[in-house]
Amino acid sequence: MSSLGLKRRPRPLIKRVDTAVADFTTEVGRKEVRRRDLLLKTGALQTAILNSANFSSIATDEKGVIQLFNVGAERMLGYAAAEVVDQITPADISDPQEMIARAAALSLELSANITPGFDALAFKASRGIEDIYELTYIRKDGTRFPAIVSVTALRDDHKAIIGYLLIGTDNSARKQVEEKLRFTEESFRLMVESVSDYAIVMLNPDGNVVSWNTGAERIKGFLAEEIVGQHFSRFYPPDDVTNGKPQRDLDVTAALGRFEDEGWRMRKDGSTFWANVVITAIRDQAGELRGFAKLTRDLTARQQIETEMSNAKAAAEKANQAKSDFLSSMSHELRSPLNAILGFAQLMDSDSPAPTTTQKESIVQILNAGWYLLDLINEILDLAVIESGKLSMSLESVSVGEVMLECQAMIEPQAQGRKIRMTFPRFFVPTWVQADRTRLKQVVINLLSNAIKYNADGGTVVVDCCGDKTPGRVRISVTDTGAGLSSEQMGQLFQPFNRLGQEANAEQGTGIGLVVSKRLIELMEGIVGVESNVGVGSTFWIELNATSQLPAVKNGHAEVALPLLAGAALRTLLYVEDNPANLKLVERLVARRPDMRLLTAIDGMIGVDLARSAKPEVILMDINLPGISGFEALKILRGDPATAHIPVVALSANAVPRDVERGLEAGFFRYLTKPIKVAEFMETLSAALDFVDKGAGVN
Amino acid sequence: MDSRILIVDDQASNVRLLEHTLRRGGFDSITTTTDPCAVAALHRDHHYDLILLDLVMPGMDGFQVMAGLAKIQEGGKLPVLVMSADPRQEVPAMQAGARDFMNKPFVLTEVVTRVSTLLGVRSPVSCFPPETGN
Repeated sequence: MSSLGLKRRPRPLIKRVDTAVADFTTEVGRKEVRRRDLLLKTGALQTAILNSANFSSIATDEKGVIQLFNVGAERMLGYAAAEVVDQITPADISDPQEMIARAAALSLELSANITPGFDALAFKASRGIEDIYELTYIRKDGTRFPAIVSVTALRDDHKAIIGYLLIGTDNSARKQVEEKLRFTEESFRLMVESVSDYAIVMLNPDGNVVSWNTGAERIKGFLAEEIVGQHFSRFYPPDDVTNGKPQRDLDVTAALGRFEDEGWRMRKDGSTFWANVVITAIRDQAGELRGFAKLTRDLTARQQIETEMSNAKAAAEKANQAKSDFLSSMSHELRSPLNAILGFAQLMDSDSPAPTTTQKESIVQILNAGWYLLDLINEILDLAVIESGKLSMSLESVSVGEVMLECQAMIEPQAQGRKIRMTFPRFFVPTWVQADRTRLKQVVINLLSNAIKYNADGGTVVVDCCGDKTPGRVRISVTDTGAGLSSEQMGQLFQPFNRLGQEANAEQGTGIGLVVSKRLIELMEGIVGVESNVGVGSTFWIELNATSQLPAVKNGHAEVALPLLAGAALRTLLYVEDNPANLKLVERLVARRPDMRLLTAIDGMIGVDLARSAKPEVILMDINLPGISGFEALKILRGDPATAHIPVVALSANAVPRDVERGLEAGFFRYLTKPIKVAEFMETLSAALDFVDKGAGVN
Repeated sequence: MDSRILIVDDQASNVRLLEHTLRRGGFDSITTTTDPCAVAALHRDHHYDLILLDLVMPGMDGFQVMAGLAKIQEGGKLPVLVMSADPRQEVPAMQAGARDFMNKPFVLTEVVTRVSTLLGVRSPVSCFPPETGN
């Protein structure tokens, strides 16, 4: 192919030499004057040609014996002219095997008996046939090189052959390039052919298969000989063929250069497979479309894996949903028998005649275990609801200070039981966070409760709140003086049922609380963290988004469902209390009733004075007050006609039945125990107001 | 106290517990049934002041019972206190017309308090000790 250009190139040169030599040999008998000039010119040319180092010019007699061996021949072949002239023929310095092969080939071609040797080299030229061929010359030192040789017969005036001229060029460089190219092409072809993961198919511009590799054979089932020459639409399902997809794909490829598709294709046996196909247009340098390269992958297996994976995922999700459903129905099922256990234990506890001391101890054990079990069930239910994604959060601006006060009031008795001192932050500036109020309280209570549970008796719990740790965030931290956690233990935190210190089993707990807390905080777009030092204590913290917006005032509350008193006048509740946390909590609770306002007094005497002047509808009285006690204050109020009719509700941390009885005997309208239970408190308030409305007599 | 109360729960133990609790709380006129299908007829005949109603019952659930009661009673909240072991039912129960909702298990004192509040009578808190534990 590319050697064509090369073959043509020496032709004019050969003719020139041919002519020159002919002129030289037929000099005699020419007209003197014209010839002399010409002779001078051609003589100079002949000399130059003969001395050209780039061409080996070898002239022989009619038998082939070398008569002329130019500088180029000497240089290329390593012989001096004297060593070869009249000694050998060009066949003697050519590859003998090639001579034999050439003789055989020419014999066949020309139906003649041509012997290997010079005859093989010169036979065509002797018949006047232009002959340029490749052969291998052998140098004097035995080395070889490829050459392109042009052979011409030299004739006298009577056209009789008097010799031959062989003009040759060294073809080594070109041969090397050709060899390299051939090697590259061959390697590439082998590579393409041996690829079995991909079908690599070459198409001509019409879409007929030109080449077919192992991968194509494997994926599509056709052998090369079965499919080469056929149209590639054979690989498409019948429907695609009917609506012209194969040609459309080629048109798109021709227009855009590349086309990628994923879809069903057909094998030889008619079965289909899910294929990824990339077709690339192949153009020559002039931009003419020469064909298409088509690369096909069988994705059936991958698609199966994807289907299997998505099935597995669906199954896992279903199983997880089933687990959540199971947990929530289970916790419901568990609550029913627990109701009987706790209920009847409570009945026994309050039976008359009263249970004996040992019976009482047993009942307390039953009740404690029962309530604990209930907590556990509630936590599991919480977790199940969170994990099922069904938990609804109502995020709003929540005052951290208020939540703290409510939590403090709820947790203090637990801390006092263990003689643990609690320190809460003071809020000089109102701090608001984006949170679900009820859920935030649940989390804070959980952290506080853990800090007490896992603390040493007489230890401390420090609650802190700061807004400068992370910009835009508020961090609430709870630090205890417990045993602290090793890094290994920290790794196990926040995993359900991985309760730390289980081996010691000193305290009840499941670890679910922390898991629930973490999930809840995350649902509020916050984070939970822990820092701990073994032997020193741990700090659990939560971080939430800070908000500056005040919360919307909420009248009434779903969990209490209070009947609103239509058209009623504003009522006043007087609360005598020295504990600011409780004051704050009651203030919040009263705020839920638009028909009420709150007055507060921090000791009994101020309370009595305020009751006389403000004439509240209801009085809420702490029992353990500085100065006079709640009982004494009640006595004064009862003794004064101006205040004697006002129902007074006792509020006390003394939760022993005897205290309650004593309180009611003393004339309190109700006797509530701390911590304040919201529902009970709200109902008591309603009851007291109803009592006032009905104009019932002095209690 | 002569308020008429009906206790509805398919589980006899729950019925017994509530009955004892309320009797100790001073309520004497108590009727009980474990058959939810009988509630509407009972109420039509006796006009209870309060019905303590369980939710999960065979044959007819608490919501269906309330729907039946709503046909008898015209307008307003039903005289029903729903008692359920499933806290998630609180809002649906209130939406169905119940006047109040209590979780099972419950603190007995609270049952008496709630019932008293709903009936508009004073509750004798002294007959129960305060909550133990929890």
